Amino acid sequence: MRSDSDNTDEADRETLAQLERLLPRVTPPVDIFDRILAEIQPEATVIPLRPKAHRRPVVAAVATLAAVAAVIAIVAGGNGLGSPDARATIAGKSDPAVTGEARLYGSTAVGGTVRVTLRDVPPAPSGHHYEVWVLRRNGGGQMEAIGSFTPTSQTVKLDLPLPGAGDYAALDISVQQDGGSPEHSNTSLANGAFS
Amino acid sequence: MDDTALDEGAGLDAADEAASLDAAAVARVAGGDAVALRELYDRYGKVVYSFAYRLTGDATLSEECVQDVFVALWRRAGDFDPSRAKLTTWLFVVARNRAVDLGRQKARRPELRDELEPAGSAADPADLAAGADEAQRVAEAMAELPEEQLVVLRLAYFDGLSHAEIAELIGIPLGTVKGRVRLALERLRSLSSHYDLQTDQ
Repeated sequence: MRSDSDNTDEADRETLAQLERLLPRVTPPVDIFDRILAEIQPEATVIPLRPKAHRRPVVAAVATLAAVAAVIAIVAGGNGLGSPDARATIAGKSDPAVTGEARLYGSTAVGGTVRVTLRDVPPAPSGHHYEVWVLRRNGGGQMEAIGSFTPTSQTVKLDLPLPGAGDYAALDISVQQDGGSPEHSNTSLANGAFS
Repeated sequence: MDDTALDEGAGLDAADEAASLDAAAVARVAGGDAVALRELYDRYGKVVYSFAYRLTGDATLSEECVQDVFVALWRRAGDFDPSRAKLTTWLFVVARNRAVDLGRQKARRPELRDELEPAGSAADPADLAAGADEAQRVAEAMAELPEEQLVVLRLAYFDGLSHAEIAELIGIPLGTVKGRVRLALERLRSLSSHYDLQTDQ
């Protein structure tokens, strides 16, 4: 058994050495997709999820985080919101097992709500939490954080206030470091486009 | 042997499934859905960048190459025919052609070469392109890994995260991370053997 394991480790090392020779361990700057977006944006009908920048000051973001954590409602059931304006099927990204749905209610007027239902949500990594973002069409590619949560079960149901009237294109759930940058971490737990 | 056969079969199924998902995403891109383009960039952008870097030896040119590849995908998605080629093949053919063009432009323009790289680091474009076939096959093989394996390999290989850090980041057990990395390397090994790649330096 031990020699099998050693052989496998050696084979893995050789594979990695071959990989390093052919595909360098280099990563592109984080803003490359923004540059692609800038080039195609006049042609785009839906703006992608990567935020150009989330410009809220850190202090404000921390305050908002605490406030939003208090505001987030873990929905026990029932609707009470009428018919949805749009729906998005949520698909897992960093964890492909995550599934779910988001529904917009009253989104074209002030005071709208997005109801997010997620299934098979993993615990937030230690020192991290999840943050919910929305993207408006014609919003200049700017993601807007609308709430954060740390799941206590695999199924999460949230009612979150929308940041204003708008034509919402997509919803994203990011993995954020506690007390970290207010910008989107660029690690998405899951996301989906409204239609 | 049976396990290996099962693994290979599962890998092929996963590759077919990934190709099918890619085709669906490209169809959405063709319809003007930039979210789909973003999804494809998240899946393949780092591998394309690394491949471009392998061919150009230059970070700035590699960035330009990646931008051009995904802008080309945006503009030509309507022409893509999944019955004729996989998206991964298309991506790396376009990336290779563009990287070679950019490398030639740099070679013809000494002022650009001086601006882009420190003295003494210039590489001969002919040398850089010599292993292009091999690099392209490995890049395609990596890109065609099952999604769950590609995610952990990207984080481990390109982002330099430890297995424990990956487990924490995406919320799966450490043993699962190790298993996925190992399966990914096994699959790359089997594909390397299939493509008869050189393993010597």
